Amino acid sequence: MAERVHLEKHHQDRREEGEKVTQEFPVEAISEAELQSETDRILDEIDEILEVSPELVVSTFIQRGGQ
Amino acid sequence: MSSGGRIISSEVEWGLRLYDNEDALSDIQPLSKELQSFLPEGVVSHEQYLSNGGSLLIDFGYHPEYSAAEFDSVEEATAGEMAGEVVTNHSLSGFVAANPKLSSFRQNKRVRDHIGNTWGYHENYGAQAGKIRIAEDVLGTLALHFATRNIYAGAGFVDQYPDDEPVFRVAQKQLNLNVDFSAATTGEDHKAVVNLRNQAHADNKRFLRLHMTSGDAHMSPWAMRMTFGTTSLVIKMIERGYELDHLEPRFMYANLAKMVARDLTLAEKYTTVTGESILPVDAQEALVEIGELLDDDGLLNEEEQWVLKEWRYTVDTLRSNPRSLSDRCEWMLKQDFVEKHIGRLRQEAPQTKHALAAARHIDMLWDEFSEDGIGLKLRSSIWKPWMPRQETIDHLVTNPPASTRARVRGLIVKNHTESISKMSWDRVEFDSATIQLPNPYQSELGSLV
Repeated sequence: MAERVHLEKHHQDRREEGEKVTQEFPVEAISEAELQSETDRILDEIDEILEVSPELVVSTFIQRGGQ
Repeated sequence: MSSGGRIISSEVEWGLRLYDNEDALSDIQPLSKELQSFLPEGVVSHEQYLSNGGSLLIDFGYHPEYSAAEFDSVEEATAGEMAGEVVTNHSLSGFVAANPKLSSFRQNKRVRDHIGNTWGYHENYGAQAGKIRIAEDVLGTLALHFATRNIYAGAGFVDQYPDDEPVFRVAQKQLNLNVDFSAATTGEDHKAVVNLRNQAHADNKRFLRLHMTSGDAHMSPWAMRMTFGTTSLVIKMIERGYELDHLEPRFMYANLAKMVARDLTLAEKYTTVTGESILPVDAQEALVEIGELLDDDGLLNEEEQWVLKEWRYTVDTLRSNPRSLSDRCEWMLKQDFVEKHIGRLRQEAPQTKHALAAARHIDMLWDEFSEDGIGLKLRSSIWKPWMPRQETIDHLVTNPPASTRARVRGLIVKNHTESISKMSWDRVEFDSATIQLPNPYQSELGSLV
Protein backbone atom coordinates (compact mmCIF):
# COMPACT_ATOMS: atom_id res chain seq x y z
CA MET A 1 0.00 0.00 0.00
CA ALA A 2 1.14 3.51 -0.70
CA GLU A 3 2.23 5.87 2.01
CA ARG A 4 -0.43 7.77 3.87
CA VAL A 5 -0.33 11.08 5.60
CA HIS A 6 -0.35 10.39 9.31
CA LEU A 7 -1.90 12.51 11.99
CA GLU A 8 0.50 13.10 14.84
CA LYS A 9 -2.05 12.04 17.42
CA HIS A 10 -0.95 9.61 20.00
CA HIS A 11 -3.00 6.88 21.38
CA GLN A 12 -2.33 4.91 24.49
CA ASP A 13 -2.07 1.18 24.41
CA ARG A 14 -1.50 -0.20 27.86
CA ARG A 15 -0.36 -3.77 27.37
CA GLU A 16 1.15 -3.89 30.80
CA GLU A 17 0.51 -1.71 33.78
CA GLY A 18 2.68 1.35 33.60
CA GLU A 19 3.80 0.71 30.03
CA LYS A 20 2.79 3.38 27.54
CA VAL A 21 2.86 2.64 23.84
CA THR A 22 1.78 5.17 21.27
CA GLN A 23 -0.06 4.40 18.08
CA GLU A 24 -0.63 6.66 15.09
CA PHE A 25 -3.61 6.70 12.80
CA PRO A 26 -4.07 7.96 9.25
CA VAL A 27 -6.38 10.89 8.80
CA GLU A 28 -6.49 11.17 5.03
CA ALA A 29 -8.19 8.62 2.83
CA ILE A 30 -6.18 6.43 0.50
CA SER A 31 -6.61 7.16 -3.18
CA GLU A 32 -9.45 5.73 -5.21
CA ALA A 33 -6.92 3.90 -7.39
CA GLU A 34 -5.32 2.23 -4.38
CA LEU A 35 -8.70 1.22 -3.02
CA GLN A 36 -9.80 -0.26 -6.34
CA SER A 37 -6.51 -2.12 -6.65
CA GLU A 38 -6.89 -3.70 -3.20
CA THR A 39 -10.55 -4.58 -3.89
CA ASP A 40 -9.55 -6.30 -7.16
CA ARG A 41 -6.71 -8.14 -5.47
CA ILE A 42 -8.93 -9.56 -2.72
CA LEU A 43 -11.71 -10.51 -5.14
CA ASP A 44 -9.14 -12.29 -7.32
CA GLU A 45 -7.81 -14.08 -4.23
CA ILE A 46 -11.24 -15.56 -3.45
CA ASP A 47 -12.23 -16.08 -7.06
CA GLU A 48 -12.40 -19.87 -6.77
CA ILE A 49 -14.68 -19.64 -3.75
CA LEU A 50 -16.94 -17.20 -5.58
CA GLU A 51 -17.23 -19.56 -8.52
CA VAL A 52 -18.94 -22.17 -6.38
CA SER A 53 -22.67 -21.96 -6.98
CA PRO A 54 -23.59 -19.19 -4.53
CA GLU A 55 -27.15 -20.44 -4.14
CA LEU A 56 -25.82 -23.53 -2.37
CA VAL A 57 -23.87 -21.44 0.10
CA VAL A 58 -26.31 -18.68 0.87
CA SER A 59 -29.47 -20.76 0.98
CA THR A 60 -28.56 -22.10 4.41
CA PHE A 61 -28.07 -18.73 6.02
CA ILE A 62 -31.21 -18.57 8.09
CA GLN A 63 -30.73 -18.12 11.81
CA ARG A 64 -33.05 -17.99 14.75
CA GLY A 65 -33.65 -14.46 15.98
CA GLY A 66 -31.73 -13.49 19.10
CA GLN A 67 -31.59 -10.43 21.30
CA MET B 1 -4.31 1.37 38.15
CA SER B 2 -7.28 2.47 36.10
CA SER B 3 -6.99 5.46 33.77
CA GLY B 4 -10.45 6.46 34.97
CA GLY B 5 -11.75 6.37 31.40
CA ARG B 6 -15.27 5.22 30.75
CA ILE B 7 -15.92 1.52 31.21
CA ILE B 8 -16.66 0.03 27.78
CA SER B 9 -17.38 -3.53 26.72
CA SER B 10 -19.20 -5.34 23.94
CA GLU B 11 -21.26 -8.50 23.54
CA VAL B 12 -21.14 -10.31 20.20
CA GLU B 13 -23.84 -12.83 19.35
CA TRP B 14 -22.50 -14.87 16.45
CA GLY B 15 -24.18 -16.16 13.35
CA LEU B 16 -23.32 -19.87 13.28
CA ARG B 17 -23.95 -22.84 11.06
CA LEU B 18 -22.65 -26.32 11.81
CA TYR B 19 -22.43 -28.87 8.98
CA ASP B 20 -22.47 -32.63 9.28
CA ASN B 21 -20.47 -35.09 7.18
CA GLU B 22 -22.99 -34.86 4.36
CA ASP B 23 -22.79 -31.05 4.38
CA ALA B 24 -26.27 -30.75 5.82
CA LEU B 25 -27.00 -28.29 8.59
CA SER B 26 -26.58 -29.75 12.03
CA ASP B 27 -28.27 -28.91 15.32
CA ILE B 28 -26.43 -26.25 17.37
CA GLN B 29 -28.03 -27.22 20.67
CA PRO B 30 -25.36 -29.80 21.71
CA LEU B 31 -22.85 -26.95 21.69
CA SER B 32 -24.55 -25.44 24.74
CA LYS B 33 -22.87 -27.78 27.19
CA GLU B 34 -19.50 -28.02 25.49
CA LEU B 35 -18.56 -24.57 24.23
CA GLN B 36 -16.25 -23.86 27.18
CA SER B 37 -14.49 -27.22 26.77
CA PHE B 38 -12.37 -26.06 23.82
CA LEU B 39 -10.97 -22.73 24.99
CA PRO B 40 -7.53 -21.58 23.81
CA GLU B 41 -4.56 -22.77 25.82
CA GLY B 42 -4.13 -20.59 28.87
CA VAL B 43 -7.82 -19.68 29.18
CA VAL B 44 -9.68 -21.21 32.12
CA SER B 45 -13.40 -21.00 32.74
CA HIS B 46 -15.88 -21.24 35.56
CA GLU B 47 -19.10 -21.96 33.74
CA GLN B 48 -19.47 -19.02 31.31
CA TYR B 49 -16.86 -16.80 32.99
CA LEU B 50 -13.34 -16.83 31.59
CA SER B 51 -9.93 -16.08 33.06
CA ASN B 52 -9.47 -13.24 30.56
CA GLY B 53 -12.38 -11.47 32.23
CA GLY B 54 -14.87 -12.23 29.47
CA SER B 55 -17.73 -14.68 29.15
CA LEU B 56 -18.69 -17.28 26.56
CA LEU B 57 -22.04 -19.03 26.36
CA ILE B 58 -24.86 -20.07 24.07
CA ASP B 59 -27.50 -17.39 24.30
CA PHE B 60 -31.08 -16.83 23.22
CA GLY B 61 -31.77 -18.30 19.79
CA TYR B 62 -28.74 -20.61 20.12
CA HIS B 63 -26.27 -17.92 19.18
CA PRO B 64 -22.80 -18.26 20.71
CA GLU B 65 -22.24 -15.04 22.66
CA TYR B 66 -18.87 -13.65 23.69
CA SER B 67 -19.09 -10.84 26.24
CA ALA B 68 -15.84 -8.98 26.57
CA ALA B 69 -14.30 -7.94 29.86
CA GLU B 70 -14.75 -4.40 31.14
CA PHE B 71 -12.15 -2.06 29.61
CA ASP B 72 -11.49 1.62 30.31
CA SER B 73 -10.40 2.77 26.87
CA VAL B 74 -11.63 2.57 23.29
CA GLU B 75 -8.31 1.01 22.29
CA GLU B 76 -8.61 -1.90 24.71
CA ALA B 77 -12.34 -2.35 24.09
CA THR B 78 -11.53 -2.77 20.38
CA ALA B 79 -8.65 -5.15 21.04
CA GLY B 80 -10.72 -7.04 23.64
CA GLU B 81 -13.57 -7.60 21.19
CA MET B 82 -11.06 -8.97 18.68
CA ALA B 83 -9.61 -11.23 21.38
CA GLY B 84 -13.15 -12.55 21.82
CA GLU B 85 -13.27 -13.36 18.12
CA VAL B 86 -10.20 -15.54 18.60
CA VAL B 87 -11.59 -17.25 21.71
CA THR B 88 -14.93 -18.01 20.04
CA ASN B 89 -13.35 -19.27 16.83
CA HIS B 90 -10.97 -21.51 18.75
CA SER B 91 -13.81 -22.97 20.80
CA LEU B 92 -15.99 -23.65 17.77
CA SER B 93 -13.06 -25.19 15.87
CA GLY B 94 -12.31 -27.48 18.80
CA PHE B 95 -15.93 -28.53 19.17
CA VAL B 96 -16.26 -29.41 15.48
CA ALA B 97 -12.90 -31.23 15.40
CA ALA B 98 -13.88 -33.32 18.44
CA ASN B 99 -17.28 -34.26 17.06
CA PRO B 100 -17.02 -37.02 14.43
CA LYS B 101 -20.50 -36.26 13.13
CA LEU B 102 -19.50 -32.73 12.16
CA SER B 103 -17.36 -31.64 9.22
CA SER B 104 -17.24 -27.84 9.31
CA PHE B 105 -18.79 -24.62 10.54
CA ARG B 106 -19.39 -21.08 9.40
CA GLN B 107 -19.01 -18.30 11.96
CA ASN B 108 -20.28 -14.85 10.96
CA LYS B 109 -19.89 -11.56 12.80
CA ARG B 110 -23.15 -9.91 11.85
CA VAL B 111 -26.62 -9.41 13.30
CA ARG B 112 -28.92 -10.32 10.42
CA ASP B 113 -29.64 -13.32 8.20
CA HIS B 114 -31.07 -13.33 4.68
CA ILE B 115 -34.72 -13.46 5.66
CA GLY B 116 -34.61 -10.60 8.14
CA ASN B 117 -34.07 -12.35 11.48
CA THR B 118 -31.85 -10.26 13.73
CA TRP B 119 -29.83 -10.93 16.85
CA GLY B 120 -27.56 -8.93 19.08
CA TYR B 121 -24.43 -6.89 19.10
CA HIS B 122 -24.55 -5.02 22.39
CA GLU B 123 -22.44 -2.14 23.66
CA ASN B 124 -22.04 -1.43 27.37
CA TYR B 125 -20.98 1.96 28.67
CA GLY B 126 -20.39 2.76 32.33
CA ALA B 127 -21.58 6.03 33.81
CA GLN B 128 -21.83 7.67 37.19
CA ALA B 129 -25.25 7.31 38.78
CA GLY B 130 -25.35 10.92 39.92
CA LYS B 131 -24.79 12.34 36.46
CA ILE B 132 -27.24 10.46 34.28
CA ARG B 133 -30.38 8.34 34.56
CA ILE B 134 -31.51 5.45 32.40
CA ALA B 135 -34.78 7.04 31.43
CA GLU B 136 -36.51 8.13 28.26
CA ASP B 137 -36.64 11.79 29.31
CA VAL B 138 -32.83 12.13 29.52
CA LEU B 139 -31.63 9.84 26.72
CA GLY B 140 -33.17 11.54 23.68
CA THR B 141 -29.77 12.77 22.51
CA LEU B 142 -28.43 9.22 22.73
CA ALA B 143 -31.40 8.05 20.63
CA LEU B 144 -30.57 10.74 18.07
CA HIS B 145 -27.00 9.45 17.94
CA PHE B 146 -28.02 5.81 17.48
CA ALA B 147 -30.60 6.73 14.83
CA THR B 148 -28.06 8.69 12.75
CA ARG B 149 -24.55 7.34 13.47
CA ASN B 150 -24.90 4.54 10.90
CA ILE B 151 -24.11 7.00 8.12
CA TYR B 152 -20.54 6.07 9.07
CA ALA B 153 -20.96 3.17 11.54
CA GLY B 154 -23.36 0.89 9.64
CA ALA B 155 -22.05 -2.54 8.66
CA GLY B 156 -24.20 -2.77 5.52
CA PHE B 157 -25.90 -5.81 4.02
CA VAL B 158 -27.49 -7.14 0.83
CA ASP B 159 -31.27 -7.05 0.89
CA GLN B 160 -33.57 -8.14 -1.90
CA TYR B 161 -36.35 -6.57 -3.88
CA PRO B 162 -39.35 -8.75 -4.70
CA ASP B 163 -37.99 -9.39 -8.21
CA ASP B 164 -34.87 -10.99 -6.66
CA GLU B 165 -32.61 -8.06 -7.49
CA PRO B 166 -30.01 -7.34 -4.83
CA VAL B 167 -30.28 -4.00 -3.07
CA PHE B 168 -27.70 -2.73 -0.66
CA ARG B 169 -28.54 -1.29 2.79
CA VAL B 170 -26.41 0.90 5.04
CA ALA B 171 -27.12 -0.93 8.31
CA GLN B 172 -28.40 -4.32 9.46
CA LYS B 173 -30.19 -4.08 12.80
CA GLN B 174 -31.85 -0.73 12.23
CA LEU B 175 -34.45 -1.99 9.75
CA ASN B 176 -35.98 -4.12 12.52
CA LEU B 177 -36.25 -1.37 15.14
CA ASN B 178 -39.82 -0.55 15.99
CA VAL B 179 -39.80 1.39 19.28
CA ASP B 180 -37.69 4.28 20.49
CA PHE B 181 -37.14 3.15 24.09
CA SER B 182 -37.66 -0.23 25.74
CA ALA B 183 -36.10 -2.35 28.46
CA ALA B 184 -36.74 -5.53 26.45
CA THR B 185 -34.11 -7.12 24.21
CA THR B 186 -36.07 -10.04 22.79
CA GLY B 187 -39.32 -10.16 20.88
CA GLU B 188 -39.75 -8.70 17.44
CA ASP B 189 -42.09 -5.99 18.74
CA HIS B 190 -39.59 -4.57 21.21
CA LYS B 191 -36.46 -3.79 19.23
CA ALA B 192 -35.58 -0.35 20.59
CA VAL B 193 -33.25 2.39 19.41
CA VAL B 194 -32.24 2.90 23.06
CA ASN B 195 -32.43 0.00 25.44
CA LEU B 196 -33.53 1.00 28.93
CA ARG B 197 -32.32 -2.08 30.80
CA ASN B 198 -31.19 -0.79 34.17
CA GLN B 199 -28.87 -3.51 35.41
CA ALA B 200 -25.62 -2.03 36.64
CA HIS B 201 -23.86 -5.27 37.63
CA ALA B 202 -22.25 -2.95 40.20
CA ASP B 203 -23.14 -0.68 43.12
CA ASN B 204 -26.13 0.97 41.52
CA LYS B 205 -25.96 3.93 43.85
CA ARG B 206 -22.64 4.89 42.25
CA PHE B 207 -22.53 3.25 38.85
CA LEU B 208 -24.84 2.77 35.89
CA ARG B 209 -24.45 0.61 32.82
CA LEU B 210 -25.97 1.83 29.56
CA HIS B 211 -26.76 -1.31 27.59
CA MET B 212 -27.21 -0.44 23.92
CA THR B 213 -28.68 -3.04 21.59
CA SER B 214 -29.43 -1.35 18.27
CA GLY B 215 -25.98 -1.25 16.64
CA ASP B 216 -24.27 -3.45 14.09
CA ALA B 217 -21.31 -5.75 14.73
CA HIS B 218 -18.21 -4.74 12.79
CA MET B 219 -15.22 -6.19 11.05
CA SER B 220 -13.69 -2.74 10.45
CA PRO B 221 -11.48 -1.62 13.34
CA TRP B 222 -12.15 2.01 12.47
CA ALA B 223 -15.90 1.39 12.74
CA MET B 224 -15.38 -0.33 16.10
CA ARG B 225 -13.32 2.57 17.43
CA MET B 226 -15.81 5.15 16.19
CA THR B 227 -18.80 3.22 17.52
CA PHE B 228 -17.30 3.06 21.02
CA GLY B 229 -15.66 6.47 20.90
CA THR B 230 -18.48 8.63 19.60
CA THR B 231 -21.09 6.96 21.79
CA SER B 232 -18.94 7.41 24.88
CA LEU B 233 -18.59 11.09 24.00
CA VAL B 234 -22.35 11.49 23.55
CA ILE B 235 -22.87 10.01 27.02
CA LYS B 236 -20.33 12.53 28.32
CA MET B 237 -22.34 15.33 26.69
CA ILE B 238 -25.51 14.13 28.44
CA GLU B 239 -23.63 13.84 31.74
CA ARG B 240 -22.58 17.48 31.29
CA GLY B 241 -26.16 18.60 30.72
CA TYR B 242 -26.10 19.03 26.94
CA GLU B 243 -29.10 17.84 24.93
CA LEU B 244 -30.31 18.10 21.33
CA ASP B 245 -33.99 17.47 21.91
CA HIS B 246 -34.90 20.06 19.25
CA LEU B 247 -33.39 17.71 16.63
CA GLU B 248 -35.71 14.84 17.66
CA PRO B 249 -37.57 13.51 14.61
CA ARG B 250 -41.27 14.32 14.44
CA PHE B 251 -42.11 10.65 13.79
CA MET B 252 -40.01 8.41 16.05
CA TYR B 253 -36.27 7.78 16.28
CA ALA B 254 -36.92 4.22 15.04
CA ASN B 255 -38.30 5.57 11.76
CA LEU B 256 -35.31 7.87 11.37
CA ALA B 257 -33.01 4.89 11.98
CA LYS B 258 -34.77 2.96 9.20
CA MET B 259 -34.52 5.92 6.85
CA VAL B 260 -30.77 6.11 7.47
CA ALA B 261 -30.39 2.36 6.89
CA ARG B 262 -32.07 2.61 3.48
CA ASP B 263 -30.55 5.85 2.19
CA LEU B 264 -27.35 5.13 0.27
CA THR B 265 -27.26 8.72 -0.99
CA LEU B 266 -27.04 10.23 2.51
CA ALA B 267 -29.19 12.99 1.07
CA GLU B 268 -32.60 12.19 2.53
CA LYS B 269 -33.78 14.71 5.11
CA TYR B 270 -36.06 14.23 8.09
CA THR B 271 -38.39 16.63 9.84
CA THR B 272 -37.63 17.55 13.42
CA VAL B 273 -40.15 18.21 16.16
CA THR B 274 -39.65 21.91 15.53
CA GLY B 275 -40.51 21.53 11.84
CA GLU B 276 -37.00 21.91 10.51
CA SER B 277 -35.86 19.69 7.63
CA ILE B 278 -32.34 18.39 8.23
CA LEU B 279 -29.93 15.66 7.14
CA PRO B 280 -28.74 12.90 9.46
CA VAL B 281 -25.23 14.32 9.02
CA ASP B 282 -26.54 17.63 10.38
CA ALA B 283 -27.53 15.84 13.58
CA GLN B 284 -24.11 14.19 13.76
CA GLU B 285 -22.39 17.53 13.21
CA ALA B 286 -24.42 19.08 16.03
CA LEU B 287 -23.02 16.37 18.28
CA VAL B 288 -19.48 17.03 17.05
CA GLU B 289 -19.93 20.71 17.88
CA ILE B 290 -20.86 19.87 21.47
CA GLY B 291 -17.82 17.61 21.62
CA GLU B 292 -15.70 20.55 20.51
CA LEU B 293 -17.14 22.66 23.32
CA LEU B 294 -16.15 19.95 25.79
CA ASP B 295 -12.67 19.91 24.29
CA ASP B 296 -12.43 23.70 24.54
CA ASP B 297 -13.23 23.34 28.23
CA GLY B 298 -10.39 20.84 28.62
CA LEU B 299 -12.72 17.96 29.43
CA LEU B 300 -11.45 15.40 26.90
CA ASN B 301 -8.57 13.01 27.33
CA GLU B 302 -6.12 12.19 24.55
CA GLU B 303 -8.13 9.27 23.24
CA GLU B 304 -11.38 11.26 23.23
CA GLN B 305 -9.59 14.02 21.31
CA TRP B 306 -8.58 11.51 18.62
CA VAL B 307 -12.19 10.32 18.36
CA LEU B 308 -13.47 13.89 18.13
CA LYS B 309 -10.97 14.84 15.44
CA GLU B 310 -11.83 11.78 13.36
CA TRP B 311 -15.54 12.42 13.93
CA ARG B 312 -15.15 16.01 12.63
CA TYR B 313 -13.20 14.73 9.61
CA THR B 314 -15.93 12.15 8.99
CA VAL B 315 -18.90 14.54 9.02
CA ASP B 316 -17.02 17.08 6.88
CA THR B 317 -16.08 14.37 4.36
CA LEU B 318 -19.61 12.93 4.34
CA ARG B 319 -20.72 16.33 3.07
CA SER B 320 -17.95 16.92 0.55
CA ASN B 321 -16.80 13.54 -0.79
CA PRO B 322 -18.42 10.70 1.15
CA ARG B 323 -17.08 7.83 -0.95
CA SER B 324 -13.55 8.80 -0.03
CA LEU B 325 -14.40 7.30 3.38
CA SER B 326 -14.62 3.84 1.79
CA ASP B 327 -11.21 2.97 3.16
CA ARG B 328 -12.58 3.01 6.73
CA CYS B 329 -16.36 3.09 6.59
CA GLU B 330 -17.50 -0.55 6.54
CA TRP B 331 -20.79 -0.26 4.67
CA MET B 332 -19.25 1.77 1.86
CA LEU B 333 -16.42 -0.67 1.25
CA LYS B 334 -18.75 -3.67 1.42
CA GLN B 335 -20.99 -1.99 -1.16
CA ASP B 336 -17.94 -1.45 -3.41
CA PHE B 337 -17.06 -5.15 -3.18
CA VAL B 338 -20.61 -6.28 -3.91
CA GLU B 339 -21.00 -3.97 -6.90
CA LYS B 340 -17.62 -4.88 -8.34
CA HIS B 341 -18.37 -8.60 -8.03
CA ILE B 342 -21.78 -8.22 -9.65
CA GLY B 343 -20.20 -6.08 -12.37
CA ARG B 344 -17.69 -8.83 -13.16
CA LEU B 345 -20.43 -11.46 -13.14
CA ARG B 346 -22.60 -9.46 -15.57
CA GLN B 347 -19.65 -8.92 -17.88
CA GLU B 348 -19.43 -12.69 -18.26
CA ALA B 349 -23.17 -13.35 -18.27
CA PRO B 350 -25.30 -10.21 -18.79
CA GLN B 351 -28.57 -12.04 -18.16
CA THR B 352 -27.42 -13.83 -15.04
CA LYS B 353 -30.12 -14.92 -12.63
CA HIS B 354 -27.55 -15.34 -9.90
CA ALA B 355 -26.98 -11.68 -9.05
CA LEU B 356 -28.78 -11.79 -5.71
CA ALA B 357 -27.06 -14.99 -4.54
CA ALA B 358 -23.69 -13.71 -5.76
CA ALA B 359 -24.15 -10.43 -3.89
CA ARG B 360 -25.14 -12.31 -0.77
CA HIS B 361 -22.13 -14.55 -1.15
CA ILE B 362 -19.89 -11.49 -0.85
CA ASP B 363 -22.00 -10.25 2.07
CA MET B 364 -21.53 -13.57 3.91
CA LEU B 365 -17.83 -13.90 3.16
CA TRP B 366 -17.37 -10.36 4.41
CA ASP B 367 -17.84 -11.24 8.08
CA GLU B 368 -16.94 -14.93 7.97
CA PHE B 369 -14.12 -16.17 10.17
CA SER B 370 -12.29 -18.39 7.72
CA GLU B 371 -9.30 -18.08 5.41
CA ASP B 372 -11.67 -16.71 2.76
CA GLY B 373 -13.16 -14.07 5.04
CA ILE B 374 -13.00 -10.70 3.27
CA GLY B 375 -13.07 -8.64 6.48
CA LEU B 376 -10.13 -10.58 7.88
CA LYS B 377 -8.18 -9.95 4.66
CA LEU B 378 -8.99 -6.24 4.88
CA ARG B 379 -7.60 -6.12 8.41
CA SER B 380 -4.24 -7.08 6.90
CA SER B 381 -4.46 -4.50 4.14
CA ILE B 382 -6.74 -1.48 3.84
CA TRP B 383 -7.81 -1.47 7.48
CA LYS B 384 -4.41 -2.28 8.95
CA PRO B 385 -3.68 1.31 10.09
CA TRP B 386 -6.64 1.23 12.50
CA MET B 387 -5.96 -2.23 13.89
CA PRO B 388 -4.97 -2.54 17.54
CA ARG B 389 -1.51 -3.99 17.98
CA GLN B 390 -1.54 -7.76 17.42
CA GLU B 391 0.34 -8.33 20.68
CA THR B 392 -2.43 -6.47 22.55
CA ILE B 393 -5.08 -8.72 21.01
CA ASP B 394 -3.00 -11.84 21.73
CA HIS B 395 -2.45 -10.68 25.31
CA LEU B 396 -6.19 -10.18 25.90
CA VAL B 397 -7.03 -13.67 24.63
CA THR B 398 -5.43 -15.15 27.72
CA ASN B 399 -5.23 -12.22 30.14
CA PRO B 400 -7.74 -9.83 31.66
CA PRO B 401 -7.30 -6.07 31.33
CA ALA B 402 -5.00 -4.69 34.01
CA SER B 403 -7.10 -1.74 35.07
CA THR B 404 -10.65 -2.88 35.84
CA ARG B 405 -12.34 -5.44 38.10
CA ALA B 406 -12.17 -7.91 35.20
CA ARG B 407 -8.58 -8.44 36.39
CA VAL B 408 -9.80 -9.59 39.80
CA ARG B 409 -12.53 -11.78 38.36
CA GLY B 410 -10.22 -13.26 35.74
CA LEU B 411 -7.45 -14.07 38.16
CA ILE B 412 -9.88 -15.68 40.59
CA VAL B 413 -11.15 -17.91 37.78
CA LYS B 414 -7.59 -18.70 36.72
CA ASN B 415 -6.29 -19.54 40.19
CA HIS B 416 -9.34 -20.73 42.12
CA THR B 417 -11.87 -22.03 39.61
CA GLU B 418 -12.36 -25.32 41.46
CA SER B 419 -13.27 -23.51 44.68
CA ILE B 420 -15.89 -21.16 43.24
CA SER B 421 -19.43 -22.11 44.09
CA LYS B 422 -21.18 -19.33 42.20
CA MET B 423 -20.22 -16.20 40.32
CA SER B 424 -21.52 -13.25 38.32
CA TRP B 425 -19.98 -10.09 36.88
CA ASP B 426 -19.82 -8.38 40.28
CA ARG B 427 -19.72 -11.25 42.78
CA VAL B 428 -17.72 -14.42 43.39
CA GLU B 429 -18.94 -16.89 46.01
CA PHE B 430 -16.93 -19.59 47.74
CA ASP B 431 -18.22 -22.00 50.38
CA SER B 432 -16.82 -19.87 53.17
CA ALA B 433 -16.63 -16.38 51.72
CA THR B 434 -18.06 -14.02 49.14
CA ILE B 435 -16.10 -11.42 47.20
CA GLN B 436 -18.10 -8.42 46.08
CA LEU B 437 -16.92 -6.39 43.11
CA PRO B 438 -19.27 -3.39 43.18
CA ASN B 439 -16.73 -1.00 41.64
CA PRO B 440 -15.87 -1.68 37.95
CA TYR B 441 -12.58 0.20 38.41
CA GLN B 442 -11.43 -2.06 41.27
CA SER B 443 -8.45 -3.97 39.85
CA GLU B 444 -6.78 -5.15 43.06
CA LEU B 445 -7.83 -7.64 45.69
CA GLY B 446 -4.81 -8.24 47.87
CA SER B 447 -3.15 -11.63 48.15
CA LEU B 448 -6.06 -13.73 46.88
CA VAL B 449 -5.33 -12.93 43.26
